[in-house]
Amino acid sequence: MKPRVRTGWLLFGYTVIVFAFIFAPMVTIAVFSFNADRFPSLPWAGFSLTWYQAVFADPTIARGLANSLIVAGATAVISTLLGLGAAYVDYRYRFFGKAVYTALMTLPPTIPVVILGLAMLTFEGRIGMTGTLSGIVAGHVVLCMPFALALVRLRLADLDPNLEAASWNLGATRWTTMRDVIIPFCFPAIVAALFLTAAISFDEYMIAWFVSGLNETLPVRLLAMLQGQVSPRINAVGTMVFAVSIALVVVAQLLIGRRLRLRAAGGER
Amino acid sequence: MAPVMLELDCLEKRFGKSIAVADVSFSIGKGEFIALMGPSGCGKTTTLRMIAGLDKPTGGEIRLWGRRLNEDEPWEREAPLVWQNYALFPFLSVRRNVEFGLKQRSVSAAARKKKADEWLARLGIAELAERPVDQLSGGQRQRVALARALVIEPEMLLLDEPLSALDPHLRVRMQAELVRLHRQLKITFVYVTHHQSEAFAMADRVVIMNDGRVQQIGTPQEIFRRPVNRQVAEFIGGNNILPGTIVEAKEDIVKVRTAFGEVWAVRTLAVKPGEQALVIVAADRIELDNSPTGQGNEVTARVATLEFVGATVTVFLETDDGSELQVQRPLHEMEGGKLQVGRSFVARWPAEHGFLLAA
Amino acid sequence: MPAWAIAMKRETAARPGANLLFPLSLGGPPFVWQLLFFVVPFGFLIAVTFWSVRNFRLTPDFITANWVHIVSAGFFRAAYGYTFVLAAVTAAFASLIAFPAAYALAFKITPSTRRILIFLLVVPFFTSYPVRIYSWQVIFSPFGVINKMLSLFSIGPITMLNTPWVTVVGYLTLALPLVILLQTFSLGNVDRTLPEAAKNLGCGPLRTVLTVIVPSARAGLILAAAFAFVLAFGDYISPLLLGGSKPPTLSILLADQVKSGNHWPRAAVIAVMMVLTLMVVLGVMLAFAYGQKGRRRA
Repeated sequence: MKPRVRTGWLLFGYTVIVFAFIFAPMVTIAVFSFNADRFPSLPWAGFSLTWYQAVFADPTIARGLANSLIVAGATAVISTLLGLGAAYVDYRYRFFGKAVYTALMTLPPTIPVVILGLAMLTFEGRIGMTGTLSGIVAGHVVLCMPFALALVRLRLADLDPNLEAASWNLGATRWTTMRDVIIPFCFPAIVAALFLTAAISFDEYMIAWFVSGLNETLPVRLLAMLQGQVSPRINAVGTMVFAVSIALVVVAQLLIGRRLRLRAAGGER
Repeated sequence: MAPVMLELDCLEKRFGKSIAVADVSFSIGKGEFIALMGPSGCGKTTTLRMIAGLDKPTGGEIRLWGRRLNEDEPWEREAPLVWQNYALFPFLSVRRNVEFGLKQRSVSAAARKKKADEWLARLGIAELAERPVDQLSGGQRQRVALARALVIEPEMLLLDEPLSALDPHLRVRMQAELVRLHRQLKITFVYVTHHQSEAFAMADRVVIMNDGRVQQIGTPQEIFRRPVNRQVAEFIGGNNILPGTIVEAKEDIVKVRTAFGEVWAVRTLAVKPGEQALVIVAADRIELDNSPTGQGNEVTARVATLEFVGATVTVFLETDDGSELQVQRPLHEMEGGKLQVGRSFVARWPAEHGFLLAA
Repeated sequence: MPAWAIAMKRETAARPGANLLFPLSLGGPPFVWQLLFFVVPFGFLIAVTFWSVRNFRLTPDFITANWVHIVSAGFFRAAYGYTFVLAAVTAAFASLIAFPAAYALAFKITPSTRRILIFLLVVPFFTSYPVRIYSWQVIFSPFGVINKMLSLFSIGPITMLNTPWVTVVGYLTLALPLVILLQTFSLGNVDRTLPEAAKNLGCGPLRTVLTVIVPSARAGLILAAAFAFVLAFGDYISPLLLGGSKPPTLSILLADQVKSGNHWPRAAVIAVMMVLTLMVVLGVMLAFAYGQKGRRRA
């Protein structure tokens, strides 16, 4: 019995260490953002909000943040709408070439963003979309749509196939069924998709770097700051950025978490 | 009979290579309670779905009041369906579920609510109006599904095995309620089931289907007394099916050599001596005596098992060479001690209670 | 799903001419978008590899000079080898490091705890990766936390930045959450009766893991490693901030070609080479994951 218990504790401790490794960067940034000392290291120099004040006063950061929010908002709405349509078509229909369709919808996140960014740059450069926020949105939607699709598709998998038929049977056309049955049913997934795609877009640095030109988003601004001198402002901006992303993701998770829990409970067959 | 409302004319439904429904033709009168009955996969549900417009026929025609219905979309028809698993909308309350059909017909919110409440009260579930659907029991969901279908006041109601998910005692109660509703509303009910007892208890006429085809149409009594072929006879149960060879053929009766010896039966088929046929004898037409009386067909056999059904008992008799005969006797005969396992009886039935079916 | 429901799906799609407007309106726009902003740019990228830069402008052409220039370049080959090796090392390390944790998550904890931990694992995915790498940069720097602590014992300062190892640490930061999640998922799908049967037959826990659980979850484990490889192979941030860009990885070469000199065709060549490599590697790994089932029926 003894060795079994020891391995149990060993495994537990190991897992804690792995999680610590994963979270250490975020925690240290957050902690040091409140450190009065210029350089993020020990000893701790005292609690201070100076770096946050410096960040709020910086116009480039403010502009970057505004651009990021606009891009994230647009990306979220467009990705979710398109993802909803694609998810429904995937759920409801079989058709010739569906494999290609599915591949197109799910491939982008598997391509390294450097390459996606370059492709967007060369193409948009040719059609004059570089340096614009819509250029960034175009690329972000390509990346984010698969996530929206996945979330909605997951929810649709739980849709009783009779419900659509029942709706038609009671007098609703295909479009009315979409409005009165499908969308209400998928509502938690739709909202989760909005939040999740917003989070992805908000932190996306590479496509934005290639495409944004002078209309920097916050991550692009950050990247520039990161390659410069070590600055305590980065801790403050970084912590804020973490906070926004985490908030968006937490909300998304809470919305779909209930669904996943029910599936997991039923799936232990 | 009532005026013909719905006509199914040589209806066919293919799914790729497989044929779900073939050459189905019958009419339904206004206000009739008609049941489509048969084993799983016989095509009854597909036929119902074609009436609702959820499947498009690949051949034949459906006519409503003489007008061809094939091309009408499901939402253009007025044939609400009560689903087997109720298909209630989980994101709507009970009342809103019921209001759904009215909303699609652009009925105002106030009028919708009033009508929905009326029907909820009529079905005895008024207090559930605000509840979410997942909190309801099976029986309650059943009523909501009914209310949802009936609130639009259709001239035809389709039901797809609506009671199969309910407990037996609830099922019996709902059967009575459905019959009562049908009588009150005077609308056409098209009811699909694989339970013979349900169909026979509720329907004015029954359509028996098997392998996508109509086997027999008639009142429950007609079908029960005169199944037209072996499948139907086996499916409805309560019949002894005795294969045999024709020995003698008179004008209206025949003598058939079966495993039980030679029996006389009504000549319902044009057969000649030497041909094969089946003799059908209803289990409730057989009497049990202690000794031969010389009247009618008689078979001596021993009681092998007794099956308690309720007010009747099914007695399975076995002859010495292992052939089995089914007899239905009232319960009090068993209680009187007459029916006991191992006891030998003479099973007797008059010739006119046996008839022929094709082998 | 009942047969008629499947048939209903099939039928609705097959009916000729009947209501194509509905599915096209719903499924068309996403398709067009991906076509326009994913497929076309890629096609364009491949085409650009054959274009030339004249007078600092990108001009349509058909030359192989870009390919020749890049593929024969020593710096490209060095970067290629370096990137490949580092990605492979990351895939291996990530798989090994993740496994005990994934094992614990899949088998050893209660469902409610698992839900919380998975929730936690998903979070880093969607937080700013460059900022996290910056954090490591600071932690590993000569004046960072680690060196400060070592100085308490009069050791160091050790130079940890600008080495391949620290770059791998960065890659692990990127890949580890995903690898743990994928491994947990595939371990969770292992038929529970198998390890129980092994235990009944006297297998010790370690042996059960190696001979029963790992082979059963093989496809998922290899898939996780494949993802780690792809992530590390394409990453720009870790080699930049932690590795000091010396030696450069392919992603850094690519970005440099764009930043300085705007030589997009050459950058495109690097990009296409990367995609081809990844397709081959993924193909091989997936074949390995799903391929040898027949042979195992011993």
